[in-house]
Amino acid sequence: MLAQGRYQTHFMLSAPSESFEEAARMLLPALLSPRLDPGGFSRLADEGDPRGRAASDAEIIMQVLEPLVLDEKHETQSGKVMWQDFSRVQQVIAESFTPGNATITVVGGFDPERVRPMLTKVRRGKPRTYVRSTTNSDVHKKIASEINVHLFGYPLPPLAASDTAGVRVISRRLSEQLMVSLRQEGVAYSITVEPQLTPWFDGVFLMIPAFDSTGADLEPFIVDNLGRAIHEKLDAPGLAHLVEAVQSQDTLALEQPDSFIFDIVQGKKRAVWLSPEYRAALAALKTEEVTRASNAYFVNERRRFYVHFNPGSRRPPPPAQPGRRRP
Amino acid sequence: MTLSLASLLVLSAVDAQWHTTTGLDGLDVMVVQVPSKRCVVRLAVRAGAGEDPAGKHGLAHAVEHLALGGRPGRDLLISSRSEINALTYTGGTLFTLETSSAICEEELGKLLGVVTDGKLWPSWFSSEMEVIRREAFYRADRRAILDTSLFGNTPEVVLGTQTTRDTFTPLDVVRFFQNNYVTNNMALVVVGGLEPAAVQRAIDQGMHLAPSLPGEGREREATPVVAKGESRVVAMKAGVMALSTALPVDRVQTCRAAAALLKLRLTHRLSPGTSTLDVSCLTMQGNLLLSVLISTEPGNQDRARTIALDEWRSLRAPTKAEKALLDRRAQHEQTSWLSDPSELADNLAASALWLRGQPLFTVASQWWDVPKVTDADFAFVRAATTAQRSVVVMGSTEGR
Repeated sequence: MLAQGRYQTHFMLSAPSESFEEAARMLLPALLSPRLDPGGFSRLADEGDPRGRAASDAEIIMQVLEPLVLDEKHETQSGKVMWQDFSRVQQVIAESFTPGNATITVVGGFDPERVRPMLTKVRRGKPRTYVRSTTNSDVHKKIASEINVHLFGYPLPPLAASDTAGVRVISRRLSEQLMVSLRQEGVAYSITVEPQLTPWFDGVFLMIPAFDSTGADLEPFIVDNLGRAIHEKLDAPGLAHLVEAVQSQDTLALEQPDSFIFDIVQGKKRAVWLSPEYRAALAALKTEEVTRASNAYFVNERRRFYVHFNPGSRRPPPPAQPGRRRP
Repeated sequence: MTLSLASLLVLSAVDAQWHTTTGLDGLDVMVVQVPSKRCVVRLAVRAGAGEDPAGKHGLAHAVEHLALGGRPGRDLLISSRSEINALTYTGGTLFTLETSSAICEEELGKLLGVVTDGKLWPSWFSSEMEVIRREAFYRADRRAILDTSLFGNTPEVVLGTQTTRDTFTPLDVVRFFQNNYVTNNMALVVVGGLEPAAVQRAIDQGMHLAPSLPGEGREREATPVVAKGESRVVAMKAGVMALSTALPVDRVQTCRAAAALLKLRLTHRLSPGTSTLDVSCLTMQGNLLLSVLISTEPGNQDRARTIALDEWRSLRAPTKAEKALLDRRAQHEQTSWLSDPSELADNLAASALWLRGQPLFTVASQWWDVPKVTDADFAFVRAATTAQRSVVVMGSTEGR
């Protein structure tokens, strides 16, 4: 499977444990010392974009969001291979597709002692310097879309284990409380609140598909509910429930290596969430630590962006040209 | 209810035990016990949008919402340690639970309790009708696409329109539930690390419905595929081509083997230029469908169509090398069901929407076994794909 982002390209191999080594032995040199076929390249340029999988609505939303947050003019060329020059492609591959510039993540039933020698055999090259882009200080936009989705983003600094646990718990809490209040009002169908650590933005995203039948602006209503959910006092049984729910989420995710590894490489769940320190911090979390995380990262002043994907923002179609008919 | 379990010894790459029974109350139960940390449950109700009364499209879906939409259902949905969902199709309604095997018994008991307690929470009726309006924008899975393209069931058939939903009353919802949510109209599928005794305890704890009375529940007949030959439909997923042939419902192994072979060959011939290739064998509206869904960039549609039709019409038996590879893949598929049994559970549940009792159990085991087929099976599929096929190209409203 292939997934391409703006800063990373992911290749994913899924194989039964007993044939994993054989498959990895074939895949690693093919990716890390690739030999390009000029004929294959010209076919690709003629035929279009061979994406390995269809993007979900959520992924498309994130792709649209990225240049907004980075404040860049980003012209997409969907379906087109932009470089028509094979030598340029060779150059990029030579610079980037090297072991020194790759991260390999392996999840599932395998023997690390047998996999490690495979990696040392192909190790060479230097890592490229990674400079993180600066982000927009504030984004508040309406964007034309087929669907109606409100997206909020709260930035996160690099976190210690206890703060990470606190952020996970408060994210779960917001998800539950907003689901109750917005569904009770009949304005929202589903709600996602989760920390995402991406190459371009570390933060907590709230994705809320919602609209009001009267066409009223829901932003103040959602913000109000969000504020109440953040500031409501959390008691010990409530915390115990949330901790258990987050632990169950982590357990469920680990039981599905195929989707879990995809989450890791996409940056949704950095490997830190598997660390013993994080797990211990989550198990020992106190209500005051959750309150501290709420006040530190989720107050309104911390909000970095709000984007409303909205059919109402669509531009009206151009008037029909006299004497011309649509095909 | 007591599970008097008939067990099947299945030769496979994975140590699996099948337990199937129809309880005295009429509930069909299939437990596939595998050494997995994961546990996947489907409660299949043989009542979907196909059972909506005239002029009340969307009622089955509203019942699904209110069955899970009351306070206990919302508590379960929102604060559960598991993933719980419900889906209404034309052919039936599925309540789904995905969780760890360690807590599966407890979670299954809760789910059964919420769905079968018959408390449909009329005070939540208005807000849930509003929630359904929002859902209309977010459905486009494989079954929904094929339901639209092959059977003409647009999303409005399942979700209703604002006009049809405005005719619903809480009493309609209660009547639909009473008429259709009866035990011999239901089947329970559990795949994962849960033993039959634990499933039995969860049923004893959670099932609120009384045993079915004689005549309750209905035998259902398959709906024939509407789209014959080649056609074009307006759909939410533009640029998708669906190629399908209906096979007899008891030829699951043949269908799976043909799907695997087609996938192998089409992957090779269609790449690059294809965004998504989904070759599957699935039960829909009582039909066993061999289906290919291809999503391409606009400039590639004709090429993809030509290649797919060529492979479809001339499906020859696998070569020795292909056969060896397909055997390995089939074994891998079984192994992969240990970490994610969802697809297996979906296939079993889809069969359960149309078959019941022993005919269901006979077909069900074919979804698990590594297909044992001969050249004659591929000849059978070739004859079927030559005699009848549906090619549906989905486009947007633009360009009409």
